Amino acid sequence: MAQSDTRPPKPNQRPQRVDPILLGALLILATLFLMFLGLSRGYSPYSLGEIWSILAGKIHDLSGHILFSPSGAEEARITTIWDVRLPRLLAALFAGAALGLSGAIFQGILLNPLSDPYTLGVSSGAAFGASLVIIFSILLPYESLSFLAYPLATAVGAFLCSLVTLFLVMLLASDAEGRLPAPNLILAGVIVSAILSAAISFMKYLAGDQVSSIILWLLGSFVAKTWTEALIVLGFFLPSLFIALFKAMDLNIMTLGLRSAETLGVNTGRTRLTLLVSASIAASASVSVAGIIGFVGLIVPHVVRLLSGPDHRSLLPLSALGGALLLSAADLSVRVWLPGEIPVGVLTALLAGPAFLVIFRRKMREIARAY
Amino acid sequence: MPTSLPPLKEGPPEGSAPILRVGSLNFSHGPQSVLEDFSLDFFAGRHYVIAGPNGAGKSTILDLLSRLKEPSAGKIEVFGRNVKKYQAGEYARLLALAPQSFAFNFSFTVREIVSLGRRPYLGRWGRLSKEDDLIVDRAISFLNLGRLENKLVTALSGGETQRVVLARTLAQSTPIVLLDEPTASLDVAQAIDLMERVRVLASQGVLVVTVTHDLHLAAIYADHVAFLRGGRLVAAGALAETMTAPILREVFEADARVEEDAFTGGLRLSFKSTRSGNFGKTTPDPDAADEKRNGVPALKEGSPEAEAPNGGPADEKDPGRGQRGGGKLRRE
Repeated sequence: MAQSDTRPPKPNQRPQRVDPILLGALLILATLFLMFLGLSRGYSPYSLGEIWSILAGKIHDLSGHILFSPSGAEEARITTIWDVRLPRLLAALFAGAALGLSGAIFQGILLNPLSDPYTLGVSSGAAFGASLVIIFSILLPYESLSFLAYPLATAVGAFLCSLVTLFLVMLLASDAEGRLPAPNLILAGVIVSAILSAAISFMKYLAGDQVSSIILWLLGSFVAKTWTEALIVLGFFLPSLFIALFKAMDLNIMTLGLRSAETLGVNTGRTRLTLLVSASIAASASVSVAGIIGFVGLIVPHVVRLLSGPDHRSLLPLSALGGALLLSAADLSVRVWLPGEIPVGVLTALLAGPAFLVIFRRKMREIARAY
Repeated sequence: MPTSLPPLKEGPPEGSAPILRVGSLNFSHGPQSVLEDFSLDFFAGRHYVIAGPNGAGKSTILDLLSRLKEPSAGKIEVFGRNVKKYQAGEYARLLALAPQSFAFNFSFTVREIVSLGRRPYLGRWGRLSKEDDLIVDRAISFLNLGRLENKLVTALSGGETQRVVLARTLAQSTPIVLLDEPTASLDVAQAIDLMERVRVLASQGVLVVTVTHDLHLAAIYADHVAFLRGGRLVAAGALAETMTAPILREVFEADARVEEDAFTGGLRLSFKSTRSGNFGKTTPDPDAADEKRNGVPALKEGSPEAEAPNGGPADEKDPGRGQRGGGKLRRE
């Protein structure tokens, strides 16, 4: 029988992968540690014991039983934890999870390693909506429109615009048979983003002296995020996570290509549509609340893939965890250790980039050895 | 692997019904008709090869059979039932398609990819049972991938990738297997290896339908052949009856010679272009236009060079004439 390969046989080595469950446990532990850091560090330090009693007390309060009536000074301590640091921390966690998850989904569906949650124009749409709200609140200072000054108004405007953008991109990208081929999606996203970028620049011009309010929003931050915002992001992230886990195996199969996936029984059209929409909505929620934070959705899935392999059943939840960890670590650094309030996106790049480089080079060496 | 291969089979098996029936299939791509009135019966345990010049509609047939496309007219029946009536999961247990090989871009291992072929039999989360693992084992050893089992698919050569795709298709355990150009990126030994495995597969009762350009392999390993030209079925039947010089000439516009080959146990094909000696001859006057454009003198109609740029058609004295490559090439 013909030897089908004339190269000398090599021992059958398993790829070096970290067990996903182990990695998940490590990430969870790291996140818990980070939460402790996030609550205890800052302008006023807190001990673990104090944090614990405050949290326990508040949760007790929520259930209806008032534990005790705090004095003024104590009230301030409680507020710092419960109303300032905790929501901000949770917002960063949930937004990071949403970005990590949707980045992994996009890369899996579009089969493009450079895809991120913003590939379909979600970020441009949200930026456009936010800029619109900000411009209106600047240029038309009527009493009746004063609600536009609320941060929530910006978030709502951003979210609605990003949904419209998503719809437009999908409309542009659908082919004669109503399918959404990956190249079309990517191209349509680029085109729509470009147009919206121009519109956003125009609005920056319109803002004149107050352009900083638009720019600051675009750069992304978690300053002064409240429970409302944190829960909004959670509310859109959770359904997206469940849908993604439900379709994780099909996502694996779709990496074989549309023809193979269809003949294996996967309804590729419906699966892709569902996943794209749910991933985009989760990313939209994140951007609408916190502005445009790059690199999380792009790099975290790659790092997880390099560590634990490309199986989406582990990749998706681990990307969510990794994203949560990265973004809350970045926000913590910005708040506690860095002067001023540097935009979080700068830090995510600084934290993620080098880590990615190290792991990538190690993997390249491993692949070269295996040849 | 058995040392002697199962013999070529003539005609349908005794007293059995076709498991795949195609009736008057039509398919159009917009206004252009790609496939017209294609009908054929397929029986289990046989290897069918569909061949024809480019654009004849061969891949379209595979797409229609695997329900990737819908015919504009006609019907397809599998095990006596119209294919439209099958659920996606059901149909995936009856028919598997190995597409033309492509590059993998996610670092799954070979075993992981082959295991994806079990999807029609798995639950939502995709956990493999012991039987699934055994079937995957068998598919891997059948394609001689044991040594590569844990290798990342992104690090494979073209031939190895092709075998992985095939193993994945076989892991689907379907009675019908469709192969789209399975030997495209394989070298000679690998291609023969693959075709022999296809022969073994057919002998185990699987219906294999292969679309290929490689007529020489088809002439050895097919049980039945169907020739398409311009979207129409020109001829179909058992290998010996269909792979004949007149039919080949009609389908491919080439002179062919078909001989029985004791060395391979199948048929041996030789081809000659029907356009020999006609290089350089063109329809009226594009040469004149070229001359004006390029300043290069064009071959004049009727000149000795134009009439016979390769020295003239082959004849008794010089059988090689007309075959020589080159000659005066017309400037474009």
